[in-house]
Amino acid sequence: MLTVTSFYYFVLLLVGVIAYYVFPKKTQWVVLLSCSLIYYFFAAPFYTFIFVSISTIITYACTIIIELKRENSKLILRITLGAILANVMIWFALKGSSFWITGSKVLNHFFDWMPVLKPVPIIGALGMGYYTAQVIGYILDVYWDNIKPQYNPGKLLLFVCFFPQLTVGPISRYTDLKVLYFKHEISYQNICFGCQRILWGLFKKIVISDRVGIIVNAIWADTSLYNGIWLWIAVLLYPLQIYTDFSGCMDIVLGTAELFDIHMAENFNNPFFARNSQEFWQRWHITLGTWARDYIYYPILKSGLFIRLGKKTKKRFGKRIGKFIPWSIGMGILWFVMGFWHGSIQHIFGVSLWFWGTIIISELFDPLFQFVITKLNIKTKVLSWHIFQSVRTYFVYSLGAVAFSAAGLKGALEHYYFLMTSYKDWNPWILFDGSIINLGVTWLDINLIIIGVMLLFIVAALRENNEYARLWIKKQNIGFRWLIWVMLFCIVLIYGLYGEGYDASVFIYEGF
Amino acid sequence: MKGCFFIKRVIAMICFLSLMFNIFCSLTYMMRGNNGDTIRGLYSEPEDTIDVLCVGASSVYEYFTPLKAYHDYGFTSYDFASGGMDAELYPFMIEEGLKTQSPKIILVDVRKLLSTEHDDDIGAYFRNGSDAMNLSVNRLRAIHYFCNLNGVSDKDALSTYIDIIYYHGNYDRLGEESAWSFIDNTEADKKKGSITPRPYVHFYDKPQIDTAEIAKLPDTTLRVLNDIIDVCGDAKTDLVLTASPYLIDKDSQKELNAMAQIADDNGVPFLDFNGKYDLIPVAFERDFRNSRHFNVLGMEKYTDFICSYLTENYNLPDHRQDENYTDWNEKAEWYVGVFEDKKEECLKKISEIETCEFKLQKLKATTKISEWGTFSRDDNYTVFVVGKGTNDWDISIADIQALEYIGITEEMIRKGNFIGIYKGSEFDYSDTDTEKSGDAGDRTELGDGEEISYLVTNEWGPAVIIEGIEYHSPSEEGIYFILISNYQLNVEDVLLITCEDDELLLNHYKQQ
Repeated sequence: MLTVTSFYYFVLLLVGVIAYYVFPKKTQWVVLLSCSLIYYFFAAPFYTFIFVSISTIITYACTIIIELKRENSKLILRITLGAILANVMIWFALKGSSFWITGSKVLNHFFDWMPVLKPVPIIGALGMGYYTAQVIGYILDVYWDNIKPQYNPGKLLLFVCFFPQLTVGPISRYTDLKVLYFKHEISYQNICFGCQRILWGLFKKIVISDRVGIIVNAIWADTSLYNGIWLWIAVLLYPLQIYTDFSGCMDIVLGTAELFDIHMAENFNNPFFARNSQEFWQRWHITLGTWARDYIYYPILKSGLFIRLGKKTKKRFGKRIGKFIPWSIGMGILWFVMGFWHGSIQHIFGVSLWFWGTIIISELFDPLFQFVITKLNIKTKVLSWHIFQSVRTYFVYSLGAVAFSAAGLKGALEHYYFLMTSYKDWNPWILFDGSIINLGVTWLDINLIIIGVMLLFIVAALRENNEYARLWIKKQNIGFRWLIWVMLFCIVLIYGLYGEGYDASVFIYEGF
Repeated sequence: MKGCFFIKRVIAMICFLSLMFNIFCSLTYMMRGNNGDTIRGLYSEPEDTIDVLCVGASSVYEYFTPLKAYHDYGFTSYDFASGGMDAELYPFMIEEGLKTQSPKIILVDVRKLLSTEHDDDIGAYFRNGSDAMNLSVNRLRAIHYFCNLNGVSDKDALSTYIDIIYYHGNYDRLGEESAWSFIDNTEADKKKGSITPRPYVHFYDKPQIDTAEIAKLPDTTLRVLNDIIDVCGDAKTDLVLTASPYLIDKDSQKELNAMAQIADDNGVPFLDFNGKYDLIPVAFERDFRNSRHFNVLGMEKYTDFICSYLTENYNLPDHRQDENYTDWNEKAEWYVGVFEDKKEECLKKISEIETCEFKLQKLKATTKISEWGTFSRDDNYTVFVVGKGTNDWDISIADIQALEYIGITEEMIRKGNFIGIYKGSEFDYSDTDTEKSGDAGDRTELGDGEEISYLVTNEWGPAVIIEGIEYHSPSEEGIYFILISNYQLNVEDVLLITCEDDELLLNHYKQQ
């Protein structure tokens, strides 16, 4: 199966980039569409492309009608809702089976005559969660008259199935990807930056993430053997694994797009520097958060119902609580949608409920926390306070991510149970006796993880305070620049976990 | 100005990519391992100094030895061969050799073309050759050629095309001094591709194959043979085909006859030593180290024959007085010294075996445990021991001591069931009750260079099945000693020790 870390992907990329700049500029979007179709053919069972096609046809027809019948507001509203519902139902039928199967089991428990549903024996399309969100955003933007619809069905298809984003996103806006149809000149900087970003992404994914994954997976695979502090090691390492996996793949995706002079939206912005959960989700999977904010949260908050609700609660409970109630309900809906998008019930718990809960608690008790900070004379403008906040946020995220790492709701609940009872098998000596080597890693692997994290931190610090690391490197002398890229290349080549016996192609966020 | 800047950029890009490619090649060479180190040796030979290039597998380098040839006849040669190297590589190895050398004669051994030797999957034998070659278009063509002929998809062969995918996990190699000498894929081979001659001896019976029948060769064989002939023809270099002698079967001889006919049709000399064992002549009781390779004695004869043939039929130079070949003179002197030592060692072994034959007569006739023990403690024998139901033996201390003399301890007697392998005076013991609850198969060496397969099974009590035959009784209790002569590969004697009326009885067991 073709993925963004496989050899043939880079062959496709090489051929695609050459064709892109050699062919006449007005056909560049056709080259991109061809690459996307070829990628899809080798990355997924091709029959699943029918779902991509259906979504595109529905979206195309809907947006053209909206544009033509704009004066008939009731009609275009119905068409908009119908098109969105159709796309959501296709996604729900194929990717949301966890919900309706569990639902049918619950109903069957109470009503014998209700059948227990089985999974549909059809695989969903590649990147279904990503492109479905994309087309919903597009339909709503056309409905709100923010953009004009695309009249060329081929171009719209390209927007839906542009190949780099099919694996892990990002969830792009039409306004961001309109550049797909423009004419592009070859640029030395784009080629260099694109290659550099891809290399950085490979480093994160196949040097760091897959190594950390060996430790985490070994612990969760045998909780009878790995108990006590082992579980906490797995919990605290998992965010590192998922971050380097997801953001590493994202770097490859963005680097790929950059080669074609397409600049897609960033999906990560140093999430582990966040001071609280709310800020964390503004830095993690940014495009999903902003999509949910712009297409779910804001429309809900601006709706007549919520405005009326806000007025009533303010009148009843005062300004602060009155504002808090509709905000928290809106947040709840937003988080429910985010959890729902992840496609399974344990994500509702681990993503929706958990983070909604932490954000709500944080907001509700903010005056109390401020009071305590003031009373204890804690300095909040110092680095140590920032570190504390970031570590706290990391810890909160890692607890929620336990549900993410489990297979199913039952597995997630089991993991939480083991964590809660881990004090019974308290074994701090494992931190000092070298037992970690029994998990299938060597000291070299541990050193590579540590060095990798240090490099991640340096790059993140550069970005946080100055600029992208590659822009900073670009300003240095040629010898230094070459040294960095050659060393990174050698590290990936030698220490990357790829080839026979490895399965680096499995991405945590690929299934959506 | 803009054009100048663009040219600078292009030059910088080319320089950078060249640097990366060189680093990629060096890392590949260093991490490959020691496979095919004789192949690398040719790259370090000064250009145009080799008069005869020998291509093939172990049927070349265990038969023809270049330094002895130089010492005795004065022309230079090189065994451009690797263990089991697939014949599909030969045309490309010839081309590879011709890049830096201009040999007057190319000698190719065709045994690997036989159906019994042919591999149709791209495995270790192919890699022995391909993973020692320089990264080049020729190498890629060789892999593609193999894949084409044997129906292997290029996708399955990806880690052969880009062999760092296969070897990159060998980063421990970077800590080895030898790896760094491979940095440019050259390492001088002191023995010019040959091996340290083997002083081992096994006795064989001369195959009674006398057939002039011609087999229909498979398409792959025909294609490879014709390509070998064509490559040498295009290079205008004389080609000599050989089939070095071994214990051939009738079907393989028919194939060699067919190849001889093709060679004849193309005016290429073909020296098939298998149909004509008297040509050298081959002494089956002293010239072989195993059924497929000569030892030092056979090597001497074969090298001498080939050298005589080449010098009589071709105009080969004599460099022994040429001061440009001082290095060859020194190495040849050194090698011949080693050769003579090994020859002496081999002759000593033969004389030992002659003594063994005498011992064997005594051994087969003796009725004393101690005598049998004394005679069987010889490196030229391997003894399988099977103990069945000895735990209720009530024997005297003297008898226990007698058994201990042949390696059977009181503890083993009390255990009742045991399996062991004696080699000379070393005893490898394993207890069937605790270690082997099911069938366990393995191979063990008989002397040097030959192996025997055996199966330990415990279904009806302990049993050893050697090369498919059970040499002891399945039910009769006692201790069985199955003696195999390493040089003859025969089961020479089966001793059975039983206990009747508290007395040990010794019988030479005959399978019914």
